[in-house]
Amino acid sequence: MPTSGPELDALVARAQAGDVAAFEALVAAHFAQVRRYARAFEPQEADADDLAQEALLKVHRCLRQFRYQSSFSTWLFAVVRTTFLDALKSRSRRDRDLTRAIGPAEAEAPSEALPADEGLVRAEERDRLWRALRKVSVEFRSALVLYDLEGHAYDEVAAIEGVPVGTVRSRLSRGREQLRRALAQEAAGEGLDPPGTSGGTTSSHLRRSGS
Amino acid sequence: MTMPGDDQDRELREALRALRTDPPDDGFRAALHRRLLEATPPPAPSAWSRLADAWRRPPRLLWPAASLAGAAAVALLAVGLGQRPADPGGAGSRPVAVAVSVPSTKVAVVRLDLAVDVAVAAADIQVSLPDGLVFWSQGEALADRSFAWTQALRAGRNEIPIAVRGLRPGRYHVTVTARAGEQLIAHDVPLEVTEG
Repeated sequence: MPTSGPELDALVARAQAGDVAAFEALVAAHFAQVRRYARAFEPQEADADDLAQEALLKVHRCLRQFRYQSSFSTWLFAVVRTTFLDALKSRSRRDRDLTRAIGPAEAEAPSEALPADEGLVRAEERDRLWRALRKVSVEFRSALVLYDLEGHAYDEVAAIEGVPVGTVRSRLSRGREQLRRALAQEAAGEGLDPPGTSGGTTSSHLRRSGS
Repeated sequence: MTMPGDDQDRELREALRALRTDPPDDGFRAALHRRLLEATPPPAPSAWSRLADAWRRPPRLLWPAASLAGAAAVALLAVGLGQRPADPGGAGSRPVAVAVSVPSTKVAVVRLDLAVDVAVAAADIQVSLPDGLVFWSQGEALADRSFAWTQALRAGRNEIPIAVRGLRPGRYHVTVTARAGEQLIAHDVPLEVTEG
């Protein structure tokens, strides 16, 4: 898929005219990123995929508003981010009710059985990291996914989020701090060393604050 | 010198980067394809879109066309979005609205000047007119009283011209809101319509 130039322009023009195949070709390169981004907002993979599809449908609906004043990918992620945040707001009440119904400990409890297979251990570690990530405040979480996880540049994240680069740096710093704390909480229940704590079970923030 | 916090950040970022694995398709493309076919196609360009696209042409093409439409007055609105440093006396640091008078027989071009510190991929902009003013396009009044759209903004100043016409004499306010990220700015542009 072209990322710029006349081929991309032609694809955008066809997609804007309603050509579904052109739209799919245009966004296919971003499927994996959008799906991972959605996982930061929805714990279940099926729900995350549903949310990712909603976001891509929004991109499709808004496509005529893309006028090349940023890269296509920056514009796409700005629309996707807005969709995720809007969905989060509308679902927050439902999620709170669900958490109350089954209890936070039960809702977040990791499996007590230790998997023997290394692949399963890694999968469990990834799941733990995703769970911790979803506990980070929304605006910090989004910056962590876009910069730390997906590798976008500072100025790209700033354009996607509509904030200055300094705000992105601040969000990343505070987001990492929150993530360390969330990982420490996850690990405390399993007797593990969380990543980003250099072998300790408590984050530097928690040590400093004496918690 | 490496600080303990740097090591922790690096370790955390490496853990996050390890999440960057491509999920199996699991029917994702097929499901999206079905939903795209079921969805209505992107809406046809509205009168506003056609108007805005025409206005985004280079000035050499734009202003003669506007003159032919009978443009008689220009109001400037500078709206600062983003954390612009203090700029005493500068138009970019605070909203500035210049009230203009325009005869009811003429079209007024209100030029919105959105100033941003960083490029914004998607800014939500809305322009609303009170009774007594109408949007004007291609020699005729539009029925809509309010237009909202999303567009990218370049770092620096972004000029968006809006053509309006007064139906009867009076003092009016064109309401403009712009949202970029979590910042929302609302401002009224005064416009006086006179006899003639």
